[in-house]
Amino acid sequence: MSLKKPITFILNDETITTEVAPNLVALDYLRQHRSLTGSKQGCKEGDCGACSVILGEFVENSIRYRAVTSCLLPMGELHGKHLVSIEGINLEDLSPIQKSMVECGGTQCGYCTPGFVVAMTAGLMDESIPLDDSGADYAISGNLCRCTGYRSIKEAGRTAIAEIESEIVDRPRIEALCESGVLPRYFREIPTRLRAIPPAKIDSPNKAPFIAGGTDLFVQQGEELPRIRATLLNTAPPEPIRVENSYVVVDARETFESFGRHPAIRECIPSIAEYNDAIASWPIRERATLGGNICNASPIADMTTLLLAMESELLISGPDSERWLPLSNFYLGYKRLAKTPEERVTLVRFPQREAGAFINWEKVSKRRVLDIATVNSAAKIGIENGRIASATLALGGVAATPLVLSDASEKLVGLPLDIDSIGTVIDSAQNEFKPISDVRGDASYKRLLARQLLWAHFQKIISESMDEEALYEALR
Amino acid sequence: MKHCDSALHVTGQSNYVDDVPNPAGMLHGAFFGSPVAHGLIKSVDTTKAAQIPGVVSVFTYEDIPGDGMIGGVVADEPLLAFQETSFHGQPIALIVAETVEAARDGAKACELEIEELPPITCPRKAFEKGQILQELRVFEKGSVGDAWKDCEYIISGSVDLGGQEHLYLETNRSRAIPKEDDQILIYSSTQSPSAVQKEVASVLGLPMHKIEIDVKRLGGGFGGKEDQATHWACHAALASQLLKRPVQVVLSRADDMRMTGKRHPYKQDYKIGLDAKGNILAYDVFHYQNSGAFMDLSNPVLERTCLHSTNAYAIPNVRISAVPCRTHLPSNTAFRGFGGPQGMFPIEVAIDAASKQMGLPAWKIQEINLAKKNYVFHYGQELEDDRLSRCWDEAARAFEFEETQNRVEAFNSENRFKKKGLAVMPVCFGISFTKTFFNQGSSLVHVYTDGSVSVATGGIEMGQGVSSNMIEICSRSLGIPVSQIKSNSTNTSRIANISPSAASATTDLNGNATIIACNKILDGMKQVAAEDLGCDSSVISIENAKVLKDGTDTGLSWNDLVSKTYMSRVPLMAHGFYTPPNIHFDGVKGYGRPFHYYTYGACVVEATVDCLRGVYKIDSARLTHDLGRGIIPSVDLGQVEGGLAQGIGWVTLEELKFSEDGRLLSNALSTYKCPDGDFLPDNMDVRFLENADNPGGPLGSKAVGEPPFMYGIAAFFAIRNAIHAFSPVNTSETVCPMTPEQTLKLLYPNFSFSEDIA
Repeated sequence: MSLKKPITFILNDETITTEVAPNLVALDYLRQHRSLTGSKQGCKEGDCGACSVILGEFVENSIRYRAVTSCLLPMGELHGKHLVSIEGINLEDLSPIQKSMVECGGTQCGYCTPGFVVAMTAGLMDESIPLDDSGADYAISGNLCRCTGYRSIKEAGRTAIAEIESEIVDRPRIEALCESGVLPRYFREIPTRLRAIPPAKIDSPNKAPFIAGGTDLFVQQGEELPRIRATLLNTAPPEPIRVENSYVVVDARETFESFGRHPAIRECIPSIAEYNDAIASWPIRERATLGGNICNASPIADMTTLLLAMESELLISGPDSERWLPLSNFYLGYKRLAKTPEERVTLVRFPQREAGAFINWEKVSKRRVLDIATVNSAAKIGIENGRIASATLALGGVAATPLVLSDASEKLVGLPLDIDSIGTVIDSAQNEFKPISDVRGDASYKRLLARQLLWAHFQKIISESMDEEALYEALR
Repeated sequence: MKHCDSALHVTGQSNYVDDVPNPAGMLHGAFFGSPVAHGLIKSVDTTKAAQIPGVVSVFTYEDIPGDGMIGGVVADEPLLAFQETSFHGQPIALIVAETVEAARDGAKACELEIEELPPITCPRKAFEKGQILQELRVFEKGSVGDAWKDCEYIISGSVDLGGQEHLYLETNRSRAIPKEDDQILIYSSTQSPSAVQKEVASVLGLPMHKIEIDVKRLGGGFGGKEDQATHWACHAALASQLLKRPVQVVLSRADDMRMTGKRHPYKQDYKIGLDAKGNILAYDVFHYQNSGAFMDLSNPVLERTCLHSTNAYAIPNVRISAVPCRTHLPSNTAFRGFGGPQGMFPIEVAIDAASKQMGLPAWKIQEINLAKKNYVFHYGQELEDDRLSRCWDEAARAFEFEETQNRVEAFNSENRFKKKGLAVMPVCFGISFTKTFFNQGSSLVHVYTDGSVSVATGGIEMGQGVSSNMIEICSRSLGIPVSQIKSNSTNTSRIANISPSAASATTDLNGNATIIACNKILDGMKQVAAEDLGCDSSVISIENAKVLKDGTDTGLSWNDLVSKTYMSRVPLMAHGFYTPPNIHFDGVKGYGRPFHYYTYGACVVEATVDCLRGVYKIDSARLTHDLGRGIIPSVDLGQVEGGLAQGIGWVTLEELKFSEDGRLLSNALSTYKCPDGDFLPDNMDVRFLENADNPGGPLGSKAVGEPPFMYGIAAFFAIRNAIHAFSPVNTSETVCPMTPEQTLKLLYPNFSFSEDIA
């Protein structure tokens, strides 16, 4: 039986009805099936951005556009959506972004260039991204260039924004971008055209394996996936985040990016935007989901470490039943989960932040942006009258699974915020894990780094009153 | 003008090898690579691979009709491994199929019986075992042995210097199309079309004139496609010739990373002696080059290491010893700087070590020892101008070394867990292929009857802007706007015996050839104009596409004159050939005048280290660079910034990790991290030396591709100086790159945890 499924979607300005293997990635479709070769393959693992495309879909009643890497985007998800490649944003004249790239000398060999232009354009289409230098840089966090040294590219993005900011600010964005010559005018008709596409037939029950954002699955199994059947979870947007009985409840299919932008999450985890900045890149965060990060069970899963410290629970749904399970009980061993293959994590919830609770997340990787953590750590610490009233410390990258340091967390309770007391606990925490040496660092480095990151939480808690000399003496 | 391909690039319309629509019936190649770094092949069974649906054929060494051994310097590398495998991933069989997927399935279905042998990955160990690709070379000047007794400070140490993945965004690829009479047209992503042509001819047993190589552009090269694009073109050509169908080979990123060579890692021992004032009296260095499995370009790379071992310093007594060591890694190869960076790194380590002992900032020792005009390097070439000092002085003035140093020290005394570091890197880099015969350039300029112009040279467009430079040079030479000129692909049927686009010399060689070609055409056109206007041709000139007589408009346009020239049966096409004057080098004695000239500059880098987490930020990189008179400002600036960025990457994030058994562990973009926009500083302040025309360069320009790479070396010392301010660093054993891992370990050298207690 053929794997192929019928889909209808809009590719650039063209409505397309076709049959494709659902797990064929958009990059291969564009290049091989459509001869749209402006999207380049640099790595096929979401690490270079040369294949960046823009994905538009209805979220509530309007279309939300975001940059994604086409090498990790399964075609089966595209029904009823708008896929835009570099060819779809070309106009008769160069757009202000394209002009700016030319003027600033932001292109040399040119291989990465369409990806940068696409990402910059997508950045302008996302109204949550500020129209300033930081927003310009944000948009290209997933793009690598080996020729320029980036100064010229950053200048190009920033210059383009500065030039058109006044034309697009506080106006319906897509409309304004069409008028400013950033987007072709066909974009204005896309909502109507997308609405005209009948919803897809839901033809099969959910069956394992499940693919959410696919940001690691397609990296690991990119050659196999197009040939197998799987359930794509992201054919429809996730349920909205809600607060219920002092819990924040999140659809497991929620992306990192939407999670980090949500007011309820920002209330609960005040620095979530800053953390997200050091997790993957913008296009990857637009795909990576909480559930995927949890179920992928990487020992250095960034979001999972944070969710562990938040004392999260998972709703595990099977064909016939569902149950809540603490995230800390979800991992049985390396890549071994406390669920059957048919079950899937559907919701993640964690308690709202109590007053006075301090939450912090730390990560060190070789490169700050778009890199896998060597060690990461999260802490939720309650302080009362200068003493630690409650503590949950989580640590990633030092064991077969992301860990809660339960002994250390327990020992912290009741301690004063002084360097000796905390130091004793942090030192003894070393007994709760045993890192291995790998490409991201040797075991001794990971132990040292774990100590430093655990200290980093307390340096931030104690902050102003921290006796840095005493800490220096304790650590050196 | 801007980079001539800019508008195509930003709209995604530029074509790379596999963007051109597939010819009918095109097949795809994939490789079965060695699963071990070193082994004896007992048998290869491709039966199952051949049965995979879609697989058309599987080729091994025995199928090669001509010479199966390739290599530019020495033909010591089998195109497909037989009998023995010499590195992990070495291609053993080429699987050709209707689809890429089928070819890769075929590769997985190959069966191999192999006796695994212990691999060597360390060059010191290889040297001990006599595994060398060439005898030890020694360059000597003065007598280091006699000099030590005069030194107040003598410092020695070792360096473990890492390699670097090229990480061109476009992986290696090639497409071969069979033509009549056993001819083959090959589209290759190569920096050396003639090397590809020669090797393909040799592998197929055909004369070179049957092989046509065409290169429009590369998605980055950086040296990685100088000698190592050849393999994949040979593979595509082999299959295409034997099957008489078009065949394309596109390496996956993983295959490209494990199957191709990188910047050579080195192990080095140095000894430096200085007098009480900081004058360097003697420098002795031993370079163990990790050459990888085969010669490739290791010999010339090592030669440049030797030539640049004293960087920009005047040292009376010098001894440089160097040996290329054979290891079980992919053959390491050319990479921007071509051994120069590896030569310069240890002298900077030595100066830094001396500065720590003397309690002086390293830049003060650098300054004292900077080579002046008339200094003669250890290989016999004299510094003929004072521009090195001018660059240093301008940088010191513009970027306030002294004040910056004070500011950094003040910051460090006020901060406990944040420390800043500062370092300066002067660069004196010789321009020319040290293999003197390579210093030749060719250009073919065509003026068509509609007045449009096409220029084709031996220069490969790989992003560095050589096409744009050729257009600009043509425009200024012919006196017509750039819009009338097109740069053509580099093609072995237009230009014969092309030197690789390398050694920063591509614009120099091909640009000067282009000027010669343009002048030949102009001479004829002026003759025609002179006859038409009844004057001497010497008073004719062309500007803005207008023909001038004694500087005044004659009313005759470029197009009119082109037409008249054609009708007069005077040639409108010309070939220009150029070779730089007065260069010679005796490779055996290591003596001569290998370089046409030097490119100079000085760069200051500041970095801040987070001493709690062991991570760092490069705050700024500011430099003064001698560009001569630049040709296209944005192209030149892009070369400087891009080189600097790669240099910073080499000494910081970019870490090649191999397992004990010789497998590349950092084998993907997820594990091999190059700089990104967040990592590199916004504050890249590049200033060009003013009033610096270079008489030897086209339009007064200087070669710019490689020299800026070495400015990045300052980043290593800036970070290490910041670490040093937190916890004194033992400089006797230096390891590069300065990864966050090394940074944290240097910050906390006393940390230990005994697993026994756990």
